[in-house]
Amino acid sequence: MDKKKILIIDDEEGFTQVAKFNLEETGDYEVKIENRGSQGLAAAREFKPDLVLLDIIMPDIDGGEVADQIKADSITEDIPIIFLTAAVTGSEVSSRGGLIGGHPFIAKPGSLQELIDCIEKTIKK
Amino acid sequence: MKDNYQRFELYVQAIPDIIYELDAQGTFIFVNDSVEQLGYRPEELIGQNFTKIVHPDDIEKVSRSFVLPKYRGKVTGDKNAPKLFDERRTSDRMTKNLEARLLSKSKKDVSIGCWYAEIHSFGRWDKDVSSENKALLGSVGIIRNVTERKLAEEMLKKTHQMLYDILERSPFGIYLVNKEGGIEYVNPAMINISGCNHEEFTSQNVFKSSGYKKADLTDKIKFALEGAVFFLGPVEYVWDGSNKSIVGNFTGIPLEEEGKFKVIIFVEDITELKTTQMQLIQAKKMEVVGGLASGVAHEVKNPLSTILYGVEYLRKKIRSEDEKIALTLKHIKEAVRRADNIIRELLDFSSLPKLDSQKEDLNMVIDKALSLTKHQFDKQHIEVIKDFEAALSSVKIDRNRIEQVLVNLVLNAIESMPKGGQLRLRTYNKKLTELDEGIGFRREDVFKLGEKVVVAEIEDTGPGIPENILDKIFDPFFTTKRNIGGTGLGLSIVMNIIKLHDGRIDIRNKKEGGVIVRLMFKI
Ligand SMILES: Nc1ncnc2c1ncn2[C@@H]1O[C@H](COP(=O)(O)OP(=O)(O)OP(=O)(O)O)[C@@H](O)[C@H]1O
Ligand SMILES: [Mg+2]
Repeated sequence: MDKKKILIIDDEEGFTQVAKFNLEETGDYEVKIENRGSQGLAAAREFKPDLVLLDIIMPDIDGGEVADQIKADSITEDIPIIFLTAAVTGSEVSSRGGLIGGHPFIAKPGSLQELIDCIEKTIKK
Repeated sequence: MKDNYQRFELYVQAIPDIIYELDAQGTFIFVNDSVEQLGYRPEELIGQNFTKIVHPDDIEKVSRSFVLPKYRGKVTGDKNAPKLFDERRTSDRMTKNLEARLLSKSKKDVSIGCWYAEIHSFGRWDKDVSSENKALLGSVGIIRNVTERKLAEEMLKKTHQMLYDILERSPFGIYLVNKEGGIEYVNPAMINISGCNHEEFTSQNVFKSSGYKKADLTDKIKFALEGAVFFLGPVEYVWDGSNKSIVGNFTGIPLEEEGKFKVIIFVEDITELKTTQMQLIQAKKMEVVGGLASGVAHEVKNPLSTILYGVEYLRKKIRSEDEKIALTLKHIKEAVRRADNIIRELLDFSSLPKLDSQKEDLNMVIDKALSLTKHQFDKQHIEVIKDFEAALSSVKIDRNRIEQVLVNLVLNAIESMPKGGQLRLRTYNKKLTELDEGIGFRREDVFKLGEKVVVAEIEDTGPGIPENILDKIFDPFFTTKRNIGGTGLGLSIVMNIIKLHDGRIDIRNKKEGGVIVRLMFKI
């Protein structure tokens, strides 16, 4: 089976790197990192991932806007997105039915297993 | 002789008072020129009955033919003897200081045309009064116009009444302290503010009292008794005999009376204002903490997630025989979880209880609360009686919170009737007309007199609440139901929610037994 391509757009460099190590360690994923939100769309167009992990609060542009850009571009519009954010608590996630702007999201910090489950579910859809 | 007569006539005419003489039938046979004050020439009255110049309402009070029948058979003594315009008695027993209203000629309009008179009169007899078969010739009298005095008196009375009303109805506490430190007057608002009863308040001595929290006030009063105005406040204060501490503004104004000073003290009770202010400050603080917390949370959660993922990676990669490494990684992971929990609690704690209020039909909210508790009252055979006002005004409430309130209250009612009973729910519109705790015209009263409100009542037929715990039921963790799992938080949450709504809750025992809870909301 082909490895799934995952793009992580998040300004927290340390986090993106350990996330990449973990995901690649499973053997199921090929991961690319983009630490600048403003370059998110360009990275997605170039890498053509199967899924984007997107941080919400970033210094240059926020994740919501990056998501809009990705959804508005004919090349990337079909790529599913999962938001990753430290700005909400776990209880808020469940109270929103697990969605922000129609995309699933995961609260930081969360377990790796939670992340992987969410990725699998989203890609299958 | 004739000279003398003329001289007397001259005197009589010169007297400013009206002097009259009546015959035995009460007809004027003489009246001096002073009667012109009433607009008559003397000759116009001669031959007329005296009642012509008496105010119709007063005739019965001054005329022999009306007054005497009432006294027949009664022994009056001189003090209470009737006073008469057409008096027959003489010397000591004559009429003195009879007060009556007289009518002037032109102004028959009673309210303008009358004036007040003071009358002295006595009888004139043909022989000495002690002799037998004497005959009455008539009465002689003298009338003094006391209108001005009378009006001044009335004015004074009105002013007095007005001042009294102002003092008695003032929302400010007012009391008067004399030179000796005694209390000469205290108004109802002051009694209310002080928490003493009238007797306790007035029996205190300002200089000797021990209950004054701040000696400051005593000193200020001493100065004021020398003539200095003072203002003190806001200060905390407790009166002798009271167990209530207030925060108040005190103003003292010296009043001079015959060279001595008394002090009138005005007290504005700002206890609730202060408490609200403190609450606002506290809320403001929490808001700052909240804002800070969510900022900090973001900054801390990111590194935490890096650590967590890092630990997971290391756990997989380091296949060492050394157990200590695995243990260390486990500890790091737990530490991250703990830090995350603390941040989450901080966020929850600092998030202000905000209301999401909308115009709602309270009847519908009550129905919802009933449907949520239906299972319980069906199980306990409790009959539910609804008496809802169909045209109930809508109220601005957070329906989820009020639902929570109603569920709590209904549950309390149900729990008080384990063997069944009746649960009555009533709603109605009301205009506040009666003073009550928290209802009045003071600034700190949440509800003002005349305000329109919506009321909801929840009544049960349980055993009621023992009087000695009535003042505790709103305390957090106070419960008499620990055995059935009561936390005692129900009513304290209810109270908080109602306060956030600027509403009001009363819980009372009914005379016929059971409890009535009354909720009130502004419309
Ligand atoms: N309708 C009522 N009849 C009789 N007693 C009542 C009634 N409502 C409240 N009480 C008394 O007031 C106390 C406090 O009530 P509150 O609702 O705060 O706590 P609780 O009902 O004991 O516990 P919780 O509501 O947290 O489960 C009760 O324990 C009970 O003694
Ligand atoms: Mg309760």
